[in-house]
Amino acid sequence: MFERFAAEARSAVVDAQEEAREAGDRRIEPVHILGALVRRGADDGLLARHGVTHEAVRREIVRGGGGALDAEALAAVGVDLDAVRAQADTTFGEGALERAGGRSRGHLRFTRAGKKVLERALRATVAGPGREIGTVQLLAGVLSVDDARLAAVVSAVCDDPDALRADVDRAVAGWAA
Amino acid sequence: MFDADPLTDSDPAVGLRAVRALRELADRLERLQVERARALGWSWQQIADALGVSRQAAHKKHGGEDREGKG
Repeated sequence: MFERFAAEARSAVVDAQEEAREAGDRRIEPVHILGALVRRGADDGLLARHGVTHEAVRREIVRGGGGALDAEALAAVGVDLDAVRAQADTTFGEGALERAGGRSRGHLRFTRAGKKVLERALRATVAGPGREIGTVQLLAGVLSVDDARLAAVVSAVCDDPDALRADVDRAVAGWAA
Repeated sequence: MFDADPLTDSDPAVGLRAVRALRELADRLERLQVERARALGWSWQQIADALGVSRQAAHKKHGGEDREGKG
């Protein structure tokens, strides 16, 4: 399927792995593909027009992530993350906990929803006028999957998700790569 | 640091998030501790015993981070 990806879309898929790694996640999810697309600005500026910035996406990914340490949830069971962090800094050096979280080396795999994004991107391409899967089709794929984490991130970073979807659909219909 | 609201604390969503975060925290501390133990000259067998796992399991999980690859 990757041979059908246009160069920019392919790069975005590769970048999605980086997004996952940097957020401390071990699998590539739809949110990481979204992060990669907005980071490159390779979606014809669609996301930017709807107020979506890479910084905001990244912040929300980390906040809702399993890879990031959830201080609020830990506090709910009586664990003071600040105290644990201070202890770790003393024993292992400054920033040790964060360093230990960034260790997911090697090739990261896609989650089921992550794979679905690629399938939906292909479907959007087949239905449209173009032959190659472009970044816009990839974005359409991201926005089409039913994924709780993605929905939370999109609603947090985008002022009007429905308007964004409508814009993306229009762009897909008129795409002729 | 955060308000301990009894209502939220009894919410399974919060409890499950906490379990996930505890696993992540434990994983990170395990990596740091094993790395340090190796640097201090502990064998894989000693580390495995302390963690309550087999030597093979400990080495498989952490051996890739051990540059010298001994033990």
